[in-house]
Formats: sequence, structure tokens, C-alpha cells
Amino acid sequence: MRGEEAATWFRERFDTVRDQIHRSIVGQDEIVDGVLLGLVGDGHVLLEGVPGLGKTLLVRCLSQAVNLSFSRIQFTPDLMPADVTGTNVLVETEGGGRRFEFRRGPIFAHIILADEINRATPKTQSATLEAMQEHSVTVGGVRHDLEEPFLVMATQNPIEQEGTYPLPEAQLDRFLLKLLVDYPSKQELAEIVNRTTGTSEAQLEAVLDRDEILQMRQIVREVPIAENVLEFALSLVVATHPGGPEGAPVAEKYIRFGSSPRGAQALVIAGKVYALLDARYNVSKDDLRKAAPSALRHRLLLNFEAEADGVKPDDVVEQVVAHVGAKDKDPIQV
Amino acid sequence: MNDIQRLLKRFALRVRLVRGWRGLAVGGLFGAGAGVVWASLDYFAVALTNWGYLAAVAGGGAVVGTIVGLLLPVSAAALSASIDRRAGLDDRLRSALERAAKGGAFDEALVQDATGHLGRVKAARTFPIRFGRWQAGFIALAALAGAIFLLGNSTLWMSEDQKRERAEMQQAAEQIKRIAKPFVERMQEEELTADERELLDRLQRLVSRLERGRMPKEEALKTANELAKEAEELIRERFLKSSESLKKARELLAGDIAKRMEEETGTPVDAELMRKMMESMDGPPPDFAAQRAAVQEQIDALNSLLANSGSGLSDSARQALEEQLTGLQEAMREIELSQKAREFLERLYAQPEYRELMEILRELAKASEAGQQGQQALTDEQIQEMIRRLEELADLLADDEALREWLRELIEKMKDLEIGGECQSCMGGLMASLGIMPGMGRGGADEQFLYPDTGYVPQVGEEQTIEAKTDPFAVRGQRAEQGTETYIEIRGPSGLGERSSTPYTDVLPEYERVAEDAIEKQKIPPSHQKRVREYFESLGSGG
Repeated sequence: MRGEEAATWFRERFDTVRDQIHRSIVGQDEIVDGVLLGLVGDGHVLLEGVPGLGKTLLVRCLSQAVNLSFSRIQFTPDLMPADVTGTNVLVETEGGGRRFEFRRGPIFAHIILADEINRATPKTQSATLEAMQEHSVTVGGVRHDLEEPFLVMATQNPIEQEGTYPLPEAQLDRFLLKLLVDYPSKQELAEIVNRTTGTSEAQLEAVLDRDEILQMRQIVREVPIAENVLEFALSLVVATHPGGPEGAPVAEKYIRFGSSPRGAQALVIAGKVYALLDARYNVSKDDLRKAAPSALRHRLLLNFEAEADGVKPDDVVEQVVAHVGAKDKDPIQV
Repeated sequence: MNDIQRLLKRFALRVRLVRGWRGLAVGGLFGAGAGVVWASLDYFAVALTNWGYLAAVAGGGAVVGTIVGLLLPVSAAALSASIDRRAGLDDRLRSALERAAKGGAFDEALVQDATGHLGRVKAARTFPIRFGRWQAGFIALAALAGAIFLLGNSTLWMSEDQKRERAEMQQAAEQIKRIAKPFVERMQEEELTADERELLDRLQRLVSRLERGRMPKEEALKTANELAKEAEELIRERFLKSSESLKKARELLAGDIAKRMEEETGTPVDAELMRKMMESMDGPPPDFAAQRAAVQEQIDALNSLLANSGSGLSDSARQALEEQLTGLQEAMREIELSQKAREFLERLYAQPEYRELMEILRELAKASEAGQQGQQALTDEQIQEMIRRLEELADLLADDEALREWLRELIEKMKDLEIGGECQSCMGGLMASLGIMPGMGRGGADEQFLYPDTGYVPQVGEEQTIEAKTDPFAVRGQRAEQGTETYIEIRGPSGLGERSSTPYTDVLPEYERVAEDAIEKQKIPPSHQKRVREYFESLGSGG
């Protein structure tokens, strides 16, 4: 497929899935695009929002719109790692003998909904961690690969923190994007009420299969990025490092630990998807600006001063972007 | 070259143009800044300038800035990134430029996309020529420089006295310039010493400052005095140098003639003796017979004394007499040689070429001596005439290679004399023109501060009343029949603001006698002898 055709096909497929999801989900365009971005960008997505905003519904819709296997894991404090990954069970053979047989857990699916992931213990969260990073699980010393595409969509509730286990930084870093699900607008709310209190219920169709998803992922990888744009992405990440030579002033003030290199990877991947969606064949700095909040907000560990001043990670990211943008001068000053 | 690079060319040209426009403003700003400094210095009369120089400084800066702006390289990468920003191309151009012909899946589509977008972008709109802060700064500074210059040079803010003083200064400058012009032009063509060059520069600076009327009067007068003093010293040095050269030339010529005499007559003659004989050729021939007779008489007397005294003389007395006798015999030989040399010179001078040569040498010696005493004996035209005659002589005496070579050297040395003469003439004129300046040359105690310890007598350009208790007398020099000469008329008492305590009638006879003596001994140039006599005659008749 030629570049132009591939990009057009990508955009069409993306729009198709998006439209399908919007048959059930009202509004939340950015969140829907972000979830789909994670799907085609080969990255896990963390959805954060108060209960009842449709996080779980969104993921379920996604699973219905694509022809992939889906598992939902409700994370609770008593959830054990084996409940997620699966375990070896003793079974009788036909000859009367016994042997251990691996019973796959719910992680063995293409799309995983890790609902309220911060309610599970760190031990269970760590089990998920390996699967997210390695796309495999190891049980009883045996490694079991997960089938591609493998996508974890985790949700967490920012309130009711009592009895929860906030995700460690290492695990947060493994999410490509963190999406903040906000309240719907009044018009959207009206539409939600109309849809959910009537007799008809939207039936979603699977419009995208596994091969198409893998092909879309390949297309994303092939989008070129210019040196100066890549430099901009790196500058954004480096600017979050307090004490670094190129650290932004806001980083010095409010950040304890800045973004890891995965932040730059996330920026570029997200930028490439945005470029394709914008009918372009190159990543622009605006794509990176657009991707910066969702790609960086969960990678910044703010200090006490930020907490005290009520500064949110998004505020810091916004200032970092502004700082790097200001330094990015026109190379021809006339 | 792909489509993008081809399309970028017109943008590169546009960028150069805009940079040139900006460079003009930046360079002009610096130039105008320098102009402000210069105009400020001009205001305080530290370094003078004019509209032309100020415009040249600002304009020069603008031109340099423009050239730099036009010539600065424009890289394709920077240009494409800039166009991306300015035209909102979302980094298409830069990406396409990097990815062109790299073989990626999207490269071709990317290049086509970027080319399409770039084709719709107008270079003039992307890089507009604006009137920005640099241009405004340039104009503001240029205006400031002009205002400061105008403030210092306009007479609008001056009092009547200041205006009059400035006008007088400018008038004096014009006159100095006019008088010194031929001299300055000539000096510029000649090879000058460092001191002469410096003097010339200072003279031109003085004229420049006077022209602008931006020099305090006291300073102008003081500088003029200093210049005149230094110039006189340099003139003296010039003439001293030419005098030495001529003396050496005469010695060389005497040696040449002595050698020639030995070759022709077989009589060896000392070069010094020959030189003396050459100098005496102007006067009547000595009476060699009488000289010989007188010496012979003394020799005979000594011989007789030695013979008759016998042993009556002490050894020392005898030795003294013998030495005296030897000296007399030596003198006798010298008289004989002198006579032979005189006869040889008379034969030589019978040739018109030699006679003329000697005549020229005599005139030159007089001119050189007069120059050292601050007088001008020969005009430029006269010296040039001499040079022409010497060149003709060199042709006539072509057979004598040594003499011809000597003549060539002499001609070269005469140029010093010529320049010295011109310098002297010019300085006379210069001093006269400075005398025109207000406040100079009036004499009197109230003006003395203008000439502290300079030893200079002020000059005047017009008749003025002398405020001293002496009767003024007009003393006028007589111009020579031909050529030109510069002289200074001095009217007044012998000292500035002082009275003579001795009636001049008491000292006049003595001065007259000394003057006559000087005329007799030819210390006064012939062209001035008549003038000196008339001067004393007028004093006598006045008394």
C-alpha cells in the first residue's frame, strides 16, 4: 500500500471505530480518541475519573467495536496475582496419572479492562506490570506469551482513596497515556439520559479485526518525524527534569522527578497518530503539544510544594510546553 | 535538486532581501551611533566633522550592514523550518526536506504534500519587509546626530559677538588656505620628513578648525604662533642641509679640478688650496710677485741671522729660527702653487661652461646662506632656471663623466633649496594671514598674553596707531625688479608694550655703521642691500 493510500485507509478505519463507539458513548471525544490511540499506538491507557462517567462502558464499547477478545478484571484488595495471570492446577490424566496444567487467567485476552486498578495490592499490580511491559506472564517458571495486540485499559478513581494502593511510578510509567475523564456537558448529559432511559439500546458491531489493528500499528510506526520536531519532543521531556541543564523553571519549583525516556516515546507515538488523523505524513510540533498532557502528566512526580500550592500535573505540563515553545525560536530572525 | 529545493530558492532570495533591509537598519544604527559620538565631539570642538562625514559614517554603516545581510548564508534546513512556522505548514517542509529520497513509506507522499503546500505560500507574505524597531532606531539616532551637529554649528543660538568672532575666524582660515594652497600642494608631492609632515598636518587641522569657526580665539592664536615657530625652524634646517650639501659639492668640484690640473700640468695641488683659490676668483687676482718678494725678504733675513749669529744663539733659539725658516719656505711653495692654481683656474674659467658653473655655485651659496638667516634670496623660478642651466651644462660637459655625475647630484640637492624657498615663502604668507586675525599684531600691554615668551613680533595687515610714546615711521621695503619676494612690515617700538629708554638718534650711527659693514661684507643679499640703506636713510632724515 502506498503512503497516501495507507494513511487514508488508516484514517477511515480509525473513524469507523470511533463512530461505532460513539453510537454508545456520548461526547468524550478526546477520551475516545485517546483510547483508540492506545490501541493503534501499541500502548496501555490509564483512565482516571470519578465513578459513573463511563470509563468502563467506554472500554467495553471498544472491545465490542473491534473483533478482539476482551477481559474485565475488577481489582479488589483480595485479588491475587494468580487471579489475574492464571495458575497451575493439578489435573488427572486419562491414564490415571496427575499433572499440573496451566489455567490461563483473564489477562490472556487482547483487551483487558483493569477496573479500579488502584484497589488491588501492590503484589497483584506487579503481576499486571510484567504482562503490560513484556506482553507475557511467567507462572511456575514457565513464560506464557500474550497474543498481540495486547492492550490494558486501566481505570482508577481519584476519590475515595482510603483502602487503595496508589500505583507506583514504575507502573504508571508503563501506561502510554493517562486520560482524565471529565463530567459531560449539559447537552451530552441530556443525550446520555435519553439513550439510557429509553427502550432501545445501541448494538455495536465489530468493525476492526486483529490484522487490521496490527497493520494500523505498523502504519503509525512508519510516519516520519523531522529532526527539529524530535528535538522539540526531547526538549519537552528534558525540561521536566529538575536540576537538569535544560530544566524548566516550573520543574525546579514543583517537580521531584521528571519524565522517563518513555515519556518521549509516548509523545512521538501519540504525535504520529495525531499526524495521521490530521491527514499529514509527518509529525508536527503541534501534535506533540497536543499529546503532551496525556503522555506526560502521569510521569511527573510533584513535590510537596506543588501539593501545597494545589498545582496539578497538567498545570506543570502546560508550563513546560510553554517554556520549551518559547525557547524554540524561528531559525531565521528577520 | 528536487521540487522543494527549487521552490525554496525564491524564499532564500526573499530572506536575503529582508536580511539586507534589516542589516541596513542595524548597520545604519551603529553608524548613526558613531555619528552621534562624533557630532558630540564636534559640539565640544574636540573632533570636527561636517554633514558629509556624518552622512558617510551613518551611510557606511548602513551599506556594510546591507552587504552583510545580503551575503549571510541561508541554510535550507533553517529556511524550511522558518517557513513551516510562518506559513503554518505544521513542519511539513522541514520533514519533507529531510525525508526526500530516503525510501520511507510516507516519504513520497510527504514530499508531494509539502510541495503542494509550499506552492501556495507567498514569499513576500511569509517574509515581509517591515519598518521595525531597528529601522526606527536608525532614523532616531541619525536625527539625533544631525540635531547635535546642528546645535553646535548653527549661529541661531549665538550672540552677536560670537557670530562676529566666528566669521573672523572663518575669514582668516580662508586666507590661510588661499596662501598656503600652492605650498601645501607642492609639499604633498614631495618627500617630506616626519617633522615636516606633522607640521603640514597640523596646519591643515588648524585651517579646518578655523574654517568651521569652532576654535577659541586664544587657542587659534597660540597654535598659529607655535606653527610659525616650528615652521621657521624647519626652514632653517632645510637651508642648513642644502648649505652643507653645497659646501660638499664645492669641495668635490675643487678636488676634481685639482686632479685635472695635476693630469694636465704635472703639478700636484691640494684640493683645499684649490677650493680657496676658487673662492678667491671673484675678487681681483692676488699680487703673487709681491707676496713672494715679501716672503723671500723674510727668508733672506732669517738666513742672514742664522749665518751671522754663529754660536751666539742658544740651541732652542736656533731651532725656533730654523722652524720659522721652514715655515716661510713652505709659504713660498704655497704661493707658487696658488699662483699656478690661479693660472690654471683662469685658463679653465676662460671656458664659458665653467664660468657659468662657478656663477651658479656662487648664487646658490648666497641663497643658502640667506635662507638660514630667514631671508629669501632666490625665487622658485630662479632656482628652476638654475637647474635648467645646470642640466644644459651637464650636456655640454658630457665628455667629463665625473663632472657630469657631480652636476646631477647637485641638481638633486638643489631641490631641497627650492622646497625650503617655497616653505619660507609660504610661511611668510601664512604669518601674514594669521596677522589678519582679530587681536593679533596690535601690540600693547593688553595683548601681550597672546604671545607669551614666543619671541615673535606681531604683524599687522593694515596701518594702525601705535600706543607708545614714539613717533611712528613708515618703513617700506622695495620690491625687487624681477620675481617675487615676501616681506613683513613692522611698525612699532622694539618691544611689545615697552618704551625704548634710549633715543634712537643716539644709536642710529652705530647701527648704520654695522649695516654698512654687513653690506660691504656681503652678508646682506644684494636684493635687500638697497632696502637696508634706504631704511637707515629714512631714519636719519626722520631724526
